[in-house]
Amino acid sequence: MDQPTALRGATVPASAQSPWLLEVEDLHVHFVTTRGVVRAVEGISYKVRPGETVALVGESGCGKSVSALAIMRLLARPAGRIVAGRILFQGRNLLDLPEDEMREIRGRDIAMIFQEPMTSLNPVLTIGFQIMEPLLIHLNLTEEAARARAVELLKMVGIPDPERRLDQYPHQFSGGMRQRVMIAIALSCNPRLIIADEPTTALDVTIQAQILKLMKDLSRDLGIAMVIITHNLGIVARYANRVNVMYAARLAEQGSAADVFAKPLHPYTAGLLRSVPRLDQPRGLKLETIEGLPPNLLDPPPGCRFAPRCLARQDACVAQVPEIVQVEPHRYSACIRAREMAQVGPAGLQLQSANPQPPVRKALDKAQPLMKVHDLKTYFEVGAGVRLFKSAHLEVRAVDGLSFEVFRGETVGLVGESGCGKTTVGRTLLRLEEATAGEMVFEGANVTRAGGQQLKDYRRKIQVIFQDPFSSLNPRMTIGQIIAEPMRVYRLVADRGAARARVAELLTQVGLFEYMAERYPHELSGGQRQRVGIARALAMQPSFIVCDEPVSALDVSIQAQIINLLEELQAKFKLTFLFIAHDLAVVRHISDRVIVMYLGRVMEVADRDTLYAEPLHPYTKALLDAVPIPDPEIEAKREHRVLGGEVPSPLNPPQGCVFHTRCPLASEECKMAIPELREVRPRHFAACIKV
Amino acid sequence: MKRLSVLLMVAATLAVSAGGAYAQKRGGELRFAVSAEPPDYDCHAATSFAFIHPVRPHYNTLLKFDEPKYPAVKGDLAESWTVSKDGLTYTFKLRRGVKFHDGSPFSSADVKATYERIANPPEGVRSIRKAAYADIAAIETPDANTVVFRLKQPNASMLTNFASPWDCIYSAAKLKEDPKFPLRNVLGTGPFRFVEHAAGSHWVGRRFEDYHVKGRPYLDGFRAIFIRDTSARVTALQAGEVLAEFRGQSPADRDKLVKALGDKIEVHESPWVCSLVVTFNTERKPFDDARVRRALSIAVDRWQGAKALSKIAIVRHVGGLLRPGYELAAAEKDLVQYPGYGRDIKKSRAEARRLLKEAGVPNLKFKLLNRNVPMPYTHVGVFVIDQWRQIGVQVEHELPETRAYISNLRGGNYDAGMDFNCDAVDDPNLQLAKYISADRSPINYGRYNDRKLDALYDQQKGELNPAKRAAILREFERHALNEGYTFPTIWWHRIIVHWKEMKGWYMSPSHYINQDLQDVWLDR
Amino acid sequence: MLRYTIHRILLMIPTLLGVAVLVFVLLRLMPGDIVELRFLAEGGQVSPEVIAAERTRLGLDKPMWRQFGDWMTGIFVGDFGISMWTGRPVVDEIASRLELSMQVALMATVFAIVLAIPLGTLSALYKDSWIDQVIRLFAIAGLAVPSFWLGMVIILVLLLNFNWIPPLTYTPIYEDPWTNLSQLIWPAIAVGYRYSAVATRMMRSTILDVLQEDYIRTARAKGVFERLVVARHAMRNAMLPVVTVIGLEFAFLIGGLVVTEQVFNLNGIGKLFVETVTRADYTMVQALVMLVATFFILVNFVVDLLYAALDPRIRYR
Repeated sequence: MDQPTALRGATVPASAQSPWLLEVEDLHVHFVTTRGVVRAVEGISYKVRPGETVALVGESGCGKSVSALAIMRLLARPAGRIVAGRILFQGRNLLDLPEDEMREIRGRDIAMIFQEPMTSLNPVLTIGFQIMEPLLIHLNLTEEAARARAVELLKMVGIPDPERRLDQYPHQFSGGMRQRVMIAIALSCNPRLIIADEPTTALDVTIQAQILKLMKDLSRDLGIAMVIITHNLGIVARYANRVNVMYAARLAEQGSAADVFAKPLHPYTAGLLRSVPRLDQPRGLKLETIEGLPPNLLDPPPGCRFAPRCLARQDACVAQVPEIVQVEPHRYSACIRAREMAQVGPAGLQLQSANPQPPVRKALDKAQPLMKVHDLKTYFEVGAGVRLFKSAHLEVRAVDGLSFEVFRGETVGLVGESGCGKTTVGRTLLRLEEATAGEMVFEGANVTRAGGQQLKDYRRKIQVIFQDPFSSLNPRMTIGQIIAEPMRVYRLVADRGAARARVAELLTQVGLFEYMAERYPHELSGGQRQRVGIARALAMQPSFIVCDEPVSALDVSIQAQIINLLEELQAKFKLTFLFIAHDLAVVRHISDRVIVMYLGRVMEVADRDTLYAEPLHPYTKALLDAVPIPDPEIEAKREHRVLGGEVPSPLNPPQGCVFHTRCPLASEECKMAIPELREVRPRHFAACIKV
Repeated sequence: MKRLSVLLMVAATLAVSAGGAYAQKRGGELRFAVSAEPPDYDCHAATSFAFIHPVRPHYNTLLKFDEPKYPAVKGDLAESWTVSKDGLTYTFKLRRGVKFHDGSPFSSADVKATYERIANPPEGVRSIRKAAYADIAAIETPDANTVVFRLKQPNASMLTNFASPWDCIYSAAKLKEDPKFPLRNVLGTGPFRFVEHAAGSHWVGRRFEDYHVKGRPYLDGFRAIFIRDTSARVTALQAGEVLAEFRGQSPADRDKLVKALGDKIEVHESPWVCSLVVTFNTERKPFDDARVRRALSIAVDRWQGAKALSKIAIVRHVGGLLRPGYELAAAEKDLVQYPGYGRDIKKSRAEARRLLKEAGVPNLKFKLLNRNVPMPYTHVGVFVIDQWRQIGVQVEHELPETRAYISNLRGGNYDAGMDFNCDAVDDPNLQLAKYISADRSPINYGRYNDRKLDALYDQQKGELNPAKRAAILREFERHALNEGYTFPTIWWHRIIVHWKEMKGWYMSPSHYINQDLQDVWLDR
Repeated sequence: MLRYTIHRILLMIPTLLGVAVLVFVLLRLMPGDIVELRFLAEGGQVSPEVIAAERTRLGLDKPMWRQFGDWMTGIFVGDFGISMWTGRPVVDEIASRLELSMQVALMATVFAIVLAIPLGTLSALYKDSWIDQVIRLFAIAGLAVPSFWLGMVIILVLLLNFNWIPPLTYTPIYEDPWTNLSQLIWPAIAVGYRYSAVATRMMRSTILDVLQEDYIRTARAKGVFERLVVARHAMRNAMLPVVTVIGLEFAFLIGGLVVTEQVFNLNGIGKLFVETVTRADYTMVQALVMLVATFFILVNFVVDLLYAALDPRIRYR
């Protein structure tokens, strides 16, 4: 019975009766938990044509991944249950199939790519075996045939030297390479449909661009339909034909990508589009956010799920659940004011300001820098156990010759891909790592090797906000205790009562409520936890805060809230930030000056507007190119030069310019010497001999 | 008169063997359990029953105890013997045709070499019981079958000494080659040849076909199995994996085995030549005061205690310094006259309180050092402490490991100690050694010297007339108990349980004797 | 790999030296010694001269540092000494017992693995079902019941129902496999039960963890048969912590079966351990402690090598 499958062509749609490859109709998924039933998906319907790319967009917890897993019938058992709906695949209802027939469809007709390439491959099995496995199971190929096919697949996804790499294990592959392997596995049996669940979220921008391009090309060449699940509107704009916006287990809006971005017909979509800092538009005074939090699906609000956060809310919105209806041709929205919105646009419903205010220029006192870092080097020794054998000892130059100045009230952005050393910079400034060489001068005093009372004073004035708001808060302490602890250690408060009052004050300042002091971290949402992290940093009345990826773990709407909060606090308390992030748009929004790092070295330093408008270094240019912009029109016009290759191992960095292995401009000269960071234009430095 | 008794003894032996001859069967391997294991093979350096049980069947001694008539002795390698009137010359006629297991003939030279090794060990040879033979002046061998011991002074215990199970007769030739030969080799004239000792596991002996007693041994061989764990030992006995264990069982295990096996087993019980004694460190106050010691001795209700403790522990008998039932021991009518043996305990306790008050320690507090071995040390320790509580004395029970216990006791690092007096045979010389002056006795841990006791000890030792010797012993006992340096609590009680199919073994008050297995047979 | 092995072996030296110092000192902290114990424990009337001579013979009268030095130099030239109790070489005393201990340990390990891997896996796969409940009960009971107690129960059951107990003395398996097994199978079960319970619980929890992993979801999404998902994708990953548990338990069994060996009257290292400690046979105790310590280190090393074999991410240089 596998014969027809094996012989099946790559492009001919199999379904005769329906033009749709996949039809999801009124899907309802529940999760039974000890605390009650979570209605994770409620009445989702969408369709996918053969060969097209459909996006499911929404914030975490909105049910987009669950609905995809429901198609595969891979919901976590026994908690996850499909309680209603139909999923027609080539006209057959997948929900009616016996488990074994469903299993035959998985991996053969419908393949899936997951978010975490680092953990989605089995660490103890060879790459080759993992690619060959579906071929052996579904297509009954012989070992040799399967191996030949695996080599072909690896070539197709752009992995060099496939023969040799088949016998390697996942840990010998980088994240991007692993995602290519996942794609190879997905492609192995020539599926009709690939469901990609956040396929590039865990990857660096340049790699993200590579992977998305690969998927898009393959889907086009092989005629495979794709369902892309993402929170990244830029990706949708760049790759999707049609888009489904989800909010709190329900569909908010449907339509072609171009239409939805140009003219959102649901206040939530409009809000999402506004919340994202963009590279293609000048920054406004502040980000326009969606206030509040998504509802708890254990106990959702009556009526429109978005109503509590909606600026265009009317009484009717709360009264009943709005049906998703056709508003315009091929446009569907679940907002009762959608037609109105179609007429007057989001600004007409007071969802956004018509004319964004320009930012206020900061007046900085440039007489003396608050922090001056000169030729900072932080090296790590990587040795195997006791150093009995000298040669077993290696060195990673995590930060290699970094110099910059930060003035009071300024925000310096530090961008780069993973492994570029940006986090080490932060840790070195915080004196959590010892600098190998160079100096750090803070308020005129050299703190590079400071100890005792001087170090203590320094540590009070320099604070940190971490990326992961959950793991950086002690789960066994209340919020109040967490915030008060450093104040008590440093005796900044007289007694328990004073500490309590100060905690209440701080909580209010970061937009939380006093009563939350009694809560534990797990009772708060991600955004609230990050606010607690900020309050804890503020408690010390610092002058300098290292923000290490403070918003990258947060959803778009929450991210905007936190960015706005940081900016407010900066103005209010005259704070100075070192803002470490990989998201170029966020960095652009918040920073005054930006440092671009690559493999431990500075590539380019410039004022924000100069850097983004006229990048000099080829790496900066490549980075900016790689970021998808949430506007299909712009994306359609942009030329996508994808930066090839991967970040080399920091254990063995390239000779000369560390970027030369991937640089489009590289020549023999670049391998000769490490280029100096030089002032190409006034206040604009670049480390490239070609500019 | 001596000669007559010897003749009578020989006749009795013949009668026993003749009387039983119709039923005895040859063959079979006797399997028995031993709770410990011989570290090496030299009889003269050994002290443990765990040595006797597997090793004794390989050897003969000059004399041995007449099993059913203990403590009477009979010849083993000696055919007959005479003792001179003055008690200074012992002449032994040896059996003819006796061979060692290697085929070499046995002669008087072997006896001489053996006893010289015991009395005057050469460099590097340990002789534990050297002191018992200190009275020997010379050993002569007029011919191959005669050996003569000449003593410096009379010793009433000499015949008992010659029957000691430890005095294995070794080959003179081998000793000449290497005085330490017996340490690693088993070569005797006994009923069983040595086959194997698997360290930690078992010991095997096979019948010596050239054994000098015709028709003996009955057994083809024996196998001693070392089983350290008490319950494992009882289980092995119950399962019939072993037919006997020759040290002794607790009353509870006896009852358990009787219940499980009914008439398949035999139970033998006897007073045991072992007692637990309380010793005071007389170098510490207030134990230098005889009144305090006596008060603590008379406060113990031995009669009631014996009755109660016998149900749970291997103690049962009230006695003086010698084992109750031994011919030289005090009879009950004498016993009740001694301090601490009166039947009226109320009176005794009142007296004890008075003595303590007199001595100025009415609210005495001290520690009792005891051995961390439950049976019977802990039981008796708890009992004694409770007795003392009843006269208002508070005592803390200290139970260190055996090693630390012995070290503290010997080193004088204690107030009062639960000591034990346990010997291979009934013999005043052995049992009273605990009580004589510390500068004469290695086992007096009370650290006192009492010349009166020493004089009485020497006197009884040289007294060959049993009745006169008994009288001296009574005086010794009375003085020792009045002083109360060391006083006996309750004597042990030996319980042996063995399968009925094992025959020809005789119970005795000592777990060190009657173990040559010469006459044991299996009724299968 | 070779270099790693040499490295590990060199690292053993300071560890073992530390163990040696510790055991040497601890043994001598307690008052009393083997000589008093040997001659006085059963009431012999032994003269102080004999005791002093014996102490001299055993070298106990030398200063501590000399005794330690003699011991160390002995080890250095491969002479582990003479048992103070039996006078036989320590190596012979241990060798005659090691075979039995190794066999019991191996059998218990096999027993534990054979039970734990399938039971732990089943329990995880049918989490919260009656199968899981039964297996968990089995495992909890295994943890709660001491091995020696189970051993006593086994013996009593055999004795009361069949009027039979396992042989009391050891027969090597190559001489008479039947007798050998009829003696050693019971202690192996008694010990292996607890051992398998530990491993079952470990297997269950790691399988549960592994089943949550993304690569399991990937395997399912590939259309892999469910039993292959478990057998091929989950179990090998789940084995890592289980291997550690098994390794450490195995090392423990050599020398750790102090009570169980007594209950079954096994002439093994554990029983030897108790006997030599109670006898204060310093040379024996020292040698045994060193043996067990070395064994622990070696087993740890083997576990690390197994890790490398099971998990390609781990490579030793």
